[in-house]
Amino acid sequence: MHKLLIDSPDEEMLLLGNDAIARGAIEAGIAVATCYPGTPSSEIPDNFFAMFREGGFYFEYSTNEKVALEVAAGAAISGIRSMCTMKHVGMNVASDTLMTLAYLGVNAGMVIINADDPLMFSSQNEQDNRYYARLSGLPMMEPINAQEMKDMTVAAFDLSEQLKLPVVLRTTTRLNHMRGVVKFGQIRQIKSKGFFKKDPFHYVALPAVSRNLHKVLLEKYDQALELSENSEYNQIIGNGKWGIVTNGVSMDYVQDAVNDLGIGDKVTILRLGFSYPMPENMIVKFLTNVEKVLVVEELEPVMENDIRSIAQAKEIVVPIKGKEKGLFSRLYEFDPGMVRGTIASYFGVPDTSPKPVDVTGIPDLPGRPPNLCAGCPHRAMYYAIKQVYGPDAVHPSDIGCYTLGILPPLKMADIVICMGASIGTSCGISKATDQKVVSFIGDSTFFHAGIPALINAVHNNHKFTLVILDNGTTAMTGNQPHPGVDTTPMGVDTTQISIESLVRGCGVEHVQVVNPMQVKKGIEAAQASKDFDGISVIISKELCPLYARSIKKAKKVRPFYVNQDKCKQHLDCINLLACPAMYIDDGKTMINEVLCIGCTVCAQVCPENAILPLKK
Amino acid sequence: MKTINIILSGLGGQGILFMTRLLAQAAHDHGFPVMVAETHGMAQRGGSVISHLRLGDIESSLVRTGTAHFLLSLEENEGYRNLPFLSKGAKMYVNTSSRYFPREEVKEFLEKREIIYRSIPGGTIAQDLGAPRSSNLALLGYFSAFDEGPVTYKEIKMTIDKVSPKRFKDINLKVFEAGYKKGKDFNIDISD
Repeated sequence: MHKLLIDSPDEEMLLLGNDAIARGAIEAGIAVATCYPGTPSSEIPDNFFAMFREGGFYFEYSTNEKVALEVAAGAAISGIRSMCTMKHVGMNVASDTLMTLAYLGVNAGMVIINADDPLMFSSQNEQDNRYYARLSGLPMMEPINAQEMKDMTVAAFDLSEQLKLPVVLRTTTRLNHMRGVVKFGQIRQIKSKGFFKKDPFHYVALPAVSRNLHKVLLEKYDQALELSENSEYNQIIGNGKWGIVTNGVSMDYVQDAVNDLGIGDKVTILRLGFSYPMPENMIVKFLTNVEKVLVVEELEPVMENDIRSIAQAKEIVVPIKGKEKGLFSRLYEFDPGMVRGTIASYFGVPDTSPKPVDVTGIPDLPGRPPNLCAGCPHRAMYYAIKQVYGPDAVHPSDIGCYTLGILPPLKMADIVICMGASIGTSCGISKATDQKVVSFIGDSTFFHAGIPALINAVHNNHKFTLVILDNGTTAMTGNQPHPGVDTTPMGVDTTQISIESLVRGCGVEHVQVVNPMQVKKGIEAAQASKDFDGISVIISKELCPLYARSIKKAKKVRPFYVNQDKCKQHLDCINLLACPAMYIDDGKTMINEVLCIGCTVCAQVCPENAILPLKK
Repeated sequence: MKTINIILSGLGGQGILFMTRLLAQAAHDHGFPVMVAETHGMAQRGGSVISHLRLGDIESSLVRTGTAHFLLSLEENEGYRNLPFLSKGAKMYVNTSSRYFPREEVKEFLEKREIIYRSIPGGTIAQDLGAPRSSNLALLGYFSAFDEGPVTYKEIKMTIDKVSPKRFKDINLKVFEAGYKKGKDFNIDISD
């Protein structure tokens, strides 16, 4: 049995924050779960995928976050509990649905997991999605540790049912990827069959209907506010004269800092876990009992501004500080030392923490960014394109492992914005310039947001080459399936969709499908696309080797070596491929046989045929 | 209880998450309050990876610089990179086969901070046993042989037995044992 399905309340387990959310959903009797994977949220749906059959609920990896949200909404409106998980930028994709879904409301608990990524560990921006609660009018909850991620998920379902509104549970990377002890609770019975009760004057968002629905949403705000005032997740802790307001992971840093500094009797902490609507009365009570306030929140001054406006409305005069020079930055994530130092300096207490370590004597090490793996098919396709188009072609790229091709010597990413934007920006760049444009998009990303842009490119007669890097999986986020994947071996019944048919269906006439590991074929395809005057698509098709290994479809690994008698040090292999398995030792080109998976691409590139399979 | 802070580092793909999980689970089973901060996602494609493991009555999962008691690094340079985390007198265990460990230019820093350093060619040990990607277990076994950490060799071994996927259990234990033995031999060497 999957460990998260164990029905023994009081069981204690060391869980990842994302595991804890998945367990919370199980305890809440989830009937439908949907997602588009994205770091730092991916382990939640991956847990669902691993246990949904055994757990007796429905789960799908949807094509994108908007669709995922709609599937979950359809279920919750039909009266069964649903969850939809996404990373913060996924919320942008889903937001069109989100805004009006808030008007419609739901009939069974619906929880949206929104995972923000301060510091951008794996994201293109660090937008603060607490604004989405304010924009949509949906309640938001923010846990502080693994236990709460489980408990709050259950509470969010109940809250959602009470208000008949989806509830957004907002996490940050540090919480998603924190591991801590979680005490299990009871698993509730799943209600797995719903019924869609027709009520078009409630569910068809025509202007006349929506005018009424907006009013209903505002009435629900008042109701939610009342619940927020009395929520166990909003607390005033202590009764000192120094006020600290905090949320999420910052609460952990504040607690440790207050203990370390020994100022527990001097401070009052206002912890906001049910963070939208903000509990106004509680905030007023807090403000009237303190002399000065420090707001400790990562990213934007969201609570700070709201609290300041409450203070203004209630004519409470007290300094409220947070985001300003010398205190907290709107940039990046916090760390415990910085929070402690800022609390100490703001309230004028000596910071007794150990002085920063004098790092003189530690060598200045170059950063080690992530890299395309040894044997990655993207590298082979990049090589073929570079051989044909040279260094001057412009390469719009997209969100996925292949973005790692930005680094020299590959340098195959010139502009990246968000999922699917490679194709749209290619249209603009090729129209605005005389430069050759060859853009790259992954298979899952193409399904997610590439198709409307490709239709646009065909319809408006744009001229560029699109390479769809089809490695048969959603690699960067942990090998989740997508609509182009045959999921039969995983024991899941889905229908596989052919990328080639889709591309042709979009109206592209010049379509080539190649295996990039055959370097010559890749170069021929690149040349044909260059010679074609119009929109052309190359589908570069080869399984991600990590994925192939995980589904036991990998070919037998036969590592290669460099025959030093033949090698004449052209260094094409090193300088043009930059495979992490290759290195230079004592002037000799070498291959690390543990890392090499025998993809043969370097052997095909070597002008001396000096790279050969190791004899076993 | 006194807080114990451990940093585990290396490169994506070396098994830092698994090593962290084993140590965290063993500590949890021992009865310590445990908190861990892990690196997932993009950083795993061969880039620098770090885990923070904290035991004690604490609320946050991140180790502050200058406060770690142990550093276990699966790669030498990643070990150096994370030296600022170590407290004075901390202990550092590194997986490297370099004869020149530690590098000349860090020796002064290590001395000044009174850091005790030890290295094991975990990659070679694991490869000799037919599991070239299991240097994480060799390092963990080596670490356990010195009996300086919060959990014993036996406790970690039990955890490996419990947590390992079935098809890797035997080899995991074998590599762990080999690392342990290497550490024990080292102990005998110095006591001679």
